[in-house]
Amino acid sequence: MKSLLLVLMMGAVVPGALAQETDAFSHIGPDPKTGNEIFIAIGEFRSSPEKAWQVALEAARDGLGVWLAARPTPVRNPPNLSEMLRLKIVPDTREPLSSQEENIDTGPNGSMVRYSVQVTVSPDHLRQFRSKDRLNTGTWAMLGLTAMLMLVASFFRLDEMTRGYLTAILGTGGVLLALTICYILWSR
Amino acid sequence: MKFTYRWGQRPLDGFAIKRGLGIGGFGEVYFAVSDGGKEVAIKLIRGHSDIEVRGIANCLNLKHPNLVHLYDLRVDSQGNRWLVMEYVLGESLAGILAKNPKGLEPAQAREWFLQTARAVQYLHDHAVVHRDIKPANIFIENGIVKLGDYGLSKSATASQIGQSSNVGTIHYMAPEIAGGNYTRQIDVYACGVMLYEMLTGDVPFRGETWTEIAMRHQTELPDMSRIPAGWAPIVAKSLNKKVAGRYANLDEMIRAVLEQTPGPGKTGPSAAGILTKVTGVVPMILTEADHFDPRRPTTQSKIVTTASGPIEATPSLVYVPVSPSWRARFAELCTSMILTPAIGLVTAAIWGLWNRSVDWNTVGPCFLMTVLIAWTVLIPAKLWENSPSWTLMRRLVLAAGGVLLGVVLYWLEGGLMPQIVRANDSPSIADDPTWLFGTLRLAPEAMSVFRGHVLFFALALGLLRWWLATERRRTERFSFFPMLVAATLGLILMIFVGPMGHTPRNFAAIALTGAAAAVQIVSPWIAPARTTSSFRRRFDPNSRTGTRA
Repeated sequence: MKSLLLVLMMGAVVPGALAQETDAFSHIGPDPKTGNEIFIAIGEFRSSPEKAWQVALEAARDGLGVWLAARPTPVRNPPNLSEMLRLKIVPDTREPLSSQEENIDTGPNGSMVRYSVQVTVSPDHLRQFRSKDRLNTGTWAMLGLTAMLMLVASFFRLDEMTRGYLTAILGTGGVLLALTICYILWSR
Repeated sequence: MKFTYRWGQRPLDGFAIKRGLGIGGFGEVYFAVSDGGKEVAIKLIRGHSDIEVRGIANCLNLKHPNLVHLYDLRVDSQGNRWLVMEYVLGESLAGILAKNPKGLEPAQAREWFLQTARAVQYLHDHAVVHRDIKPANIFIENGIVKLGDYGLSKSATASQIGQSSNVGTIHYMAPEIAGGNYTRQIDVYACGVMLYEMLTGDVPFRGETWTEIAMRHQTELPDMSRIPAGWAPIVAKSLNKKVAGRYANLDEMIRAVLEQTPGPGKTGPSAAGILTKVTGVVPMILTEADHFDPRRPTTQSKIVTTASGPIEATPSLVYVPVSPSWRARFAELCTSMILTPAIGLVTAAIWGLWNRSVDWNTVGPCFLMTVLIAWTVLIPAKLWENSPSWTLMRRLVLAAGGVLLGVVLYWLEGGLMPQIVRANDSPSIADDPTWLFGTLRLAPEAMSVFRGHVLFFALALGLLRWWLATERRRTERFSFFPMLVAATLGLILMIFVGPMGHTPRNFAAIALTGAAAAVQIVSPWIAPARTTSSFRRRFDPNSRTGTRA
């Protein structure tokens, strides 16, 4: 309870706490030394520590996704849990310093436990998220462009083969296909 | 050059244009269909005098199985002259020679020559000198060789040794043309050159300029060591510098070929079969040309001879090489660009092996950059295909493309993009540490990375002559040398650009190398003909012997 109070206090004192903050995920603020953004994610009570830890991590992942999407340069593909663990955005073990444990006594059934997790996002992490996002966009753009080129090349080849007899049909078909490709890409 | 008319237009009453076939110094040729459904080729005749057009008109009634038929000479509503002729749906000899850079089999060359020579002899019998015999004007359709483009022909009367325009392709021009001599003998010489080319894959005289080629035609002896046995005396005689030393007419040359180079015989394949061995065209018509007697007089011959008037001197025409149309080049560019990602994937796979990772976040940027670099080279190179070689301008354009590539890679790597701010937001924007250019601002920590990326690619593309690797007539289809140069430059730039800005990750050099390979592999290539060094021409005894023979 002490740690929860601490978390709530810290969340309250951070100026400009983001609108998307929830009780489960709060922005503490940037570390003045490293520039890292610090967050605290709070899980839910579970009967076993493992389950509680997992829930806390999921809360961290979801909260970070919401925060990244609301950035001035939004990131549409937030990292998944394994990536967050790999990048050490969240601790991979239940360390006392980086995570906080809270127990409540539920009587004869034993105790319930929940965790709060510190989420640390460095500027390099942000760059990597943007990079992944843009790589995804770039790959799709290239696929789309290549598809369009294939369309144009096919038009010329077929027009050559049909010696101009089907130019109007091929042209109309080509435009319709191009519009379809554009729609598919746009809808992504 | 663009075609004047496009699909569906009807510049000539009764014919709808389907597509352009070719553009050259002679005019524009289109594939068209008449209102009745007849497929024809129509040629918009430009830059020809009335007398020359009258010469074309004289050819309208010539009929020979090996000649492209001319149907009509028409004038459109704007006063332009159009020649309506047979549409030959077949490949040209030039195209076949391009596919066979070492020349054709002697039996195939023989059939091509015989059918062409019969057509030319027929023209001569009707007092017409073709003057532009070359592989690009010879086609094959259903196993029959067709000689076309005798729109540039001159009717030759008894006084045909006159003045005319200096037309024709320089590689096939007889030495006496320099003196304005346009006798039938220039066709004999051109047939000799063509025969030489069919047998060796190369014309006898090459040079950097027209003057050099023309000079060689007048002074040098061709390298006869490459001519197969039995053919050398025929080719040597037809290429004699002196008119008197050549065959008197093509009929004599045809007889020499028939005597000295026996054909396949009764049990061998037919002439059409031999020709289709090269072209793959299914023969549908028997080779009537084999039995056609070119000396047989026709009623038209008299009319033609008497109708032809004196030939006036006209200014020299500049020979414009026929290049692929913009449609063909655009289609080529699209195909090249479509194929590039395949090479990009190979490059990315190499980068993945190096990093022992198949994660798209690792190999993806390498793939995208390889493709983008190659595209940045391919697009302007295609535009420059027929333009003068201004190296500095080309370097600057590629460097500008490199700047864009640098920005793209910076963006791909997740860098913070520059933002536009209003000038009055800051009292002195130039003193602002975030100032980039104009009203563009960039975070100070990103400035070095941005500068490094842009500088790296601008130099990488601007310092090398990338377009050489895309040239249609490059020496080799694929060479490791450009890759080596690109890789070395990439590494050098990483060392030297480093102090000026944060250079891209290592894959940039790999991507440059991959792009150097990609532009070569995907660019169209015409195999250069075999050339003989001047040393060999001078000292090879076989060469001299062959020539004298």
